[in-house]
Amino acid sequence: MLPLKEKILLVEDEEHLAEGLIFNLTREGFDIEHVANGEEAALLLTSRAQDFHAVVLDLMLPGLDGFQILQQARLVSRSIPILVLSARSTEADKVRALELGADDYVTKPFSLKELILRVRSILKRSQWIRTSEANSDKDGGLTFGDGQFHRGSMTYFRADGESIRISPTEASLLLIFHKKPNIILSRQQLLKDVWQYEPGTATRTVDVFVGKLRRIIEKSEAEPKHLISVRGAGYAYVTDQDVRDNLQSNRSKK
Amino acid sequence: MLNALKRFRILLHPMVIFIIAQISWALLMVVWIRWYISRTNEFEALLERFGPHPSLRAGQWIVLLEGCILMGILLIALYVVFVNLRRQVRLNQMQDSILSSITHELKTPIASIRLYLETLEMYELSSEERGRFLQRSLQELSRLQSLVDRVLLSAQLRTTFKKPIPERLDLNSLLMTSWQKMTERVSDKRDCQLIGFDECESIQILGIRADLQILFDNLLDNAVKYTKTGGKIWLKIFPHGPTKIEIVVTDDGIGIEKNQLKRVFQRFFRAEGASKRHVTGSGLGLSLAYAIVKAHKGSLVAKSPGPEKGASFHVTFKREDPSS
Repeated sequence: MLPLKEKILLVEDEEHLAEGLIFNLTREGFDIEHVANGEEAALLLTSRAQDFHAVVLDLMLPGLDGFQILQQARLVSRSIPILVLSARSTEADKVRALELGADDYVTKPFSLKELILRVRSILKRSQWIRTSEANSDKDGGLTFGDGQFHRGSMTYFRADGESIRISPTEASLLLIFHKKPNIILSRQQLLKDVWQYEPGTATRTVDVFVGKLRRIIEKSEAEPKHLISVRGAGYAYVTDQDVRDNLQSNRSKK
Repeated sequence: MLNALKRFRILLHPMVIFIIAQISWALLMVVWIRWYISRTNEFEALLERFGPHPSLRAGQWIVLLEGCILMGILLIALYVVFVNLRRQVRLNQMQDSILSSITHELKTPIASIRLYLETLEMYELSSEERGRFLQRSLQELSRLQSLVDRVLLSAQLRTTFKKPIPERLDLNSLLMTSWQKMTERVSDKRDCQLIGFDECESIQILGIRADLQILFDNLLDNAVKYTKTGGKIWLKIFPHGPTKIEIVVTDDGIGIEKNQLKRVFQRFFRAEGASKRHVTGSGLGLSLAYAIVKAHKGSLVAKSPGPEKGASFHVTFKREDPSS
């Protein structure tokens, strides 16, 4: 019996572009379902999110725009990976899409090889989630910051008792930091480890996602104790008090 | 502290400043007039003590009137500056939005072309598939060229008054070229009909071929943008005697509000329904169409029964006598 193909929802109103994307993604072994307007996409995502392994989403659509679809999709499912594919290339647009729950952002015009790589990357994260949920009995909590992260349920339990469900990308980032505590990780390193970006890619994606993680784990996002940024170097997940004091005193000297 | 800062920011809003300026001006007028009248009365009372004297009142009223006129001019100037500033701010916002739309319009065909060429490069394709993808690339290239032409022509029509040499053109041929382009894109998604063409053969007008082609492309493109899938787009042609010809593009799309019927031809203007539906486009199409029609000494009028009831665009040109 052939393994089931991974199903991608393609939301793109440009007919020729959609045709090309469907052709290529099908050739790459994916099962594509295509819609050309925002309202249909929102309806599908709110009623059948579990049927899709990933979403490739344009932002400028007739009806609801991509930002509105992102908001609605994330209310229903935190785990479905969403890659935004848009001609809007300003930093403000990218940040907004990532803040609203996109896992990755590709601007048009794009390299076909890069797009396929990014789609595979977000699917890998999704696959990891499905495997984690299947093994959830075996997985206990992981201490991160002042709280606990439960891989099986993709939930972070804060020290104050609040539980927050996190996305696959946020979880991937958390686990990378957890694996390498008290070490400064550069943005390029994080981009490569989590998003499989080529070195030299300029992007604020890391900053946006670290910001999101801070909002989840820190008591005060403005004064983080666990996810410290080191200017000109990157970020560090700090568990050791001496390392924390050292990094914080270096920051105040600057 | 944050709330206090937010409140302070509200005070810096141009409308709030304008209102404060108006109130201050009114208070200043009242205070000044009262002060002037009371000083005048005091001065008159003082002069009375020294004996009879000609009344100063007439001269003083003239001074008061002059002061009021000058203050009135100041108020009008303030108002004019404010209105122009608001208009400029709105225009800047519209231009930012339209620039974003134009960028999207340019990038999308480029993305398609790149996608198809990379597909041709990456895979071994059948000749049918290769032919189809090359065809798509050429269509997108044509779309890109059309947009660039529109943007450049729009800039040209606004900044320079060039006088290319008009020639006699077959109107049917121009219309059919635009119609074919449009129907190739959407005929399976829209009810497209031609009306009146069988009865009107060999209609000639004087004009610039490239500009008129853009005119008809824009009008049909506009109809496509604002009409849903399954909607109607009709192209009609009506002779008005031997000297005039009317071309009408009709759709049953989102329609136009009565108070916007003239504004739709303004540069960067988008009908109200467009923003709600996220209709893409440069916002230059109709303003360019209008400029082209005017340059050809014709008329272009928009009509609509109202929102969601469709619209029609009526272009009228002078006909050339085919026998001359």
